[in-house]
Amino acid sequence: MLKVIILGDSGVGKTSLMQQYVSKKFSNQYKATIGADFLTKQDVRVDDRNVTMQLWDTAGQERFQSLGVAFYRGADCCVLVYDVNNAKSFEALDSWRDEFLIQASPRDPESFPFVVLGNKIDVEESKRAVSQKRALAFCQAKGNIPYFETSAKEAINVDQAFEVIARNALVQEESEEYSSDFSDPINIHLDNDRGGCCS
Amino acid sequence: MAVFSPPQVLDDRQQLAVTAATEPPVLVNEASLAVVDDYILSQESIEQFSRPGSPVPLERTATLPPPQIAPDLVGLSKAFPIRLQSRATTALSSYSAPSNATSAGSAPNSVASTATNSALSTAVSTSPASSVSSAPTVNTDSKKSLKLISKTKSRSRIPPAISSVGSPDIKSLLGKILKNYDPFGRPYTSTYNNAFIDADMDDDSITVFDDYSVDAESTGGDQDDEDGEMDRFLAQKKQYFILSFAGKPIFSMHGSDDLISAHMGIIQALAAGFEQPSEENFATETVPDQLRFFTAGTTTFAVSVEDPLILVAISKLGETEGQLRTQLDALHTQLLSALTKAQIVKVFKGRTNFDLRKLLGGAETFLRALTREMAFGSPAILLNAIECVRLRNSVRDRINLALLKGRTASLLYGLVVADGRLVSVIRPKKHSLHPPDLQVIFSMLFHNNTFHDGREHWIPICLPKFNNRGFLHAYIVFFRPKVALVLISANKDSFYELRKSKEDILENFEQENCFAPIDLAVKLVRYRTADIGVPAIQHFLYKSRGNVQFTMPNFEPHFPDRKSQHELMLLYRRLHAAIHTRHTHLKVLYVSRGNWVALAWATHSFEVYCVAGAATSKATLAQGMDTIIAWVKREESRLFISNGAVSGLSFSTKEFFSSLTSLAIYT
Repeated sequence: MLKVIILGDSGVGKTSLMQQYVSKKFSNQYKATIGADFLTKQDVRVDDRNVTMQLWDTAGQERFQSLGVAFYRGADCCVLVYDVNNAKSFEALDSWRDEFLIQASPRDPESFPFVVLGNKIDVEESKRAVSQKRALAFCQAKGNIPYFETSAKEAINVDQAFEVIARNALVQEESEEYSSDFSDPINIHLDNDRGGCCS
Repeated sequence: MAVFSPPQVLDDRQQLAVTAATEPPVLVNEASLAVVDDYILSQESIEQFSRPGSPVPLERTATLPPPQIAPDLVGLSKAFPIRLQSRATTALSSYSAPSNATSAGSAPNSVASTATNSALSTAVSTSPASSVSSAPTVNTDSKKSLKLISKTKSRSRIPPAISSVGSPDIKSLLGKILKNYDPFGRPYTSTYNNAFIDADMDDDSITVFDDYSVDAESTGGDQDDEDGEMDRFLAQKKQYFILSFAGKPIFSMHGSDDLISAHMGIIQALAAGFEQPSEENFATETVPDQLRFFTAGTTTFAVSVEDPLILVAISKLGETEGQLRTQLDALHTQLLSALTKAQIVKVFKGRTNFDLRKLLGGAETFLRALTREMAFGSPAILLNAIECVRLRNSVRDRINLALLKGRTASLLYGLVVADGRLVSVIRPKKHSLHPPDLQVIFSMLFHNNTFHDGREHWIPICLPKFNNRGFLHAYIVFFRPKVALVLISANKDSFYELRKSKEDILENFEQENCFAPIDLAVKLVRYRTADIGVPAIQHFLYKSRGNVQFTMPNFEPHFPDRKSQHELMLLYRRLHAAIHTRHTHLKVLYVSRGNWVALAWATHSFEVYCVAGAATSKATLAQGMDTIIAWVKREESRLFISNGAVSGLSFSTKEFFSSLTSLAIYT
């Protein structure tokens, strides 16, 4: 079970991307996410493994930010989404990333997997506000974050992006193998009068 | 005094027992320490436990009922034998006392108004007027949460229907405590949903036993099937979930991953939401808030946050927060028995994204078996007590001695368990057994067939109430189809030693002729109410609080199948809920509903619940309860393993006293 958090400004298409990925559907109607939505994608093939992804679609609006701390906790991958036609949404990515790292406080922030998605590339080129070059430069500066340009509407690059998300999430989840030897022996002194178990 | 240490959270008296248990009085000489167990209670508490039938002091009764209630006293004294009267009065007066903040607003003379309620007005009142149903809808640790659910609360703020006509009928009066009634005796749909008994009757497709998750994998992926699956999932009357703090599922009673994972997310979000101090009480709140309980319509949700896990119980059966919490505790204990608290804390430390299912291994089987049992209705978990096989003292002593003789150096606990009931237990003087730990073992042994092959089993097991940090090791063998010998050691290398011990013990059983009485006990199951002189009583539960044990007769002949037994357990749960409602001092409860009448009585030393056919008069019912209490008192040493001491031997038997000291072991 992989937990994936999707963050980004209001209206950049987080919910649409999830819908497209999970149920291959797209709606032109905009409906703001209230708080958070949860979707599950089963049988995600990563190499020869089957994994289940728990997708946490968060509300982009400021007023829902109080969900915060506990909500981001234990994520295996964080997806940052912006709208290529909206420069402000791109500029916000850095603060979304910082916010996540502060709130989720992963053990190793340097290596925590992010993926950046530039959505709405189906819109005519003249409206584009953030160039691919600029986006790539940002991703490189932040530790080589994988970058995809997507269209939830036309289903461009969505599956490819989520394949990388799933793979990186799986790597993160398995990054530290737990040790299986936990058998703290219980010392019981049957012959000791004052004894009692190790309590 | 008790073999089993009483549960942690109980009334003051029980806590006294626990304190006494951990700090035995110093003034006990060596000789008596050899037989008297760790649980040396103060003289005061021994007296309290050993007088099950003692009536409440009369002066207490005299002060309680206000004058307005007088007409009812007349009715009551006719209905109940004198001895019960004091409780019955207490019940009535406290019944109308404010049970929570919600009902506190209803008139100060609510005693009078409730007492004069006519049967008719009871029936037509559509409000959750009874003391049970007006229980708080949400309990959390702070005021903040109350604000959140104010909408829900305002719905239930309708005061009890007041009418001053009609004769006060005890049946309608007390029956109302569990549920509103209509004059024709049909269960009335009120705040508690109609899941009670009738709803279960015709609906085989949606019962609590319906575990379709096994089939879910074989069904195809087309949309209709998925919808149907979700419908069935949501229709379940009981649900249990265990999830991590991150919202990753660990265990679910019903439903496949894709069905539940969204629900896990919602639960995690809800639980997390309460953790953060809200703006207005940010300064004052230092302890994090916790979501504990909420209702949605007639469905109740209990949440237990056990860092780093969240456990959830969902019920449409009208169970109370306390009952669900007990079940969650049992579930948590079962989980810990497979993993230990130390291990769980360790794997989540610094990696909150950990998927605990990787470690769960085969333990899911046991969790599933336990949740099914709890959904069905387990008397042991409801009462938080252990059931023992009824045996003659001489027989139990023989078995005990056979165990003692066969024990080896590294043995910690030795148990003989027949069909979910304890036959015998030996234990070191310094170590007690806790009912939840025993329930874990019983559940593993009897609620699924993992160990039923007659072969030897050697498993690591954590007994969380004993020590939640490490594993003990259990040697388990069913030496009879339904009878298991369990030898528990702290030493993981003691398999061969315990195997040898088992051979010796079974040989001793043979020599001491112990098999026949055990076989007989399994064959006869329990006893019949007719055998003890109360044929009118169809079934009862009797819990001895001091011993943390209970006894009950066979379900047959009145409750021959699982369905009727389930219905009976639902009735018991309602009775239990009513007399355990917080802030009330309800001690005697008479209920008439559908095919049954029932009487419940709780004192500091015992709880009794009796069920009889609808035609049974109140007097007969009360008389039957009296007979049962007297019988249990007479049979106490056969029904319960008390004075168990280190060996389970009765210390009234001098012979065994000497044999034990001469053995000079196990102290």
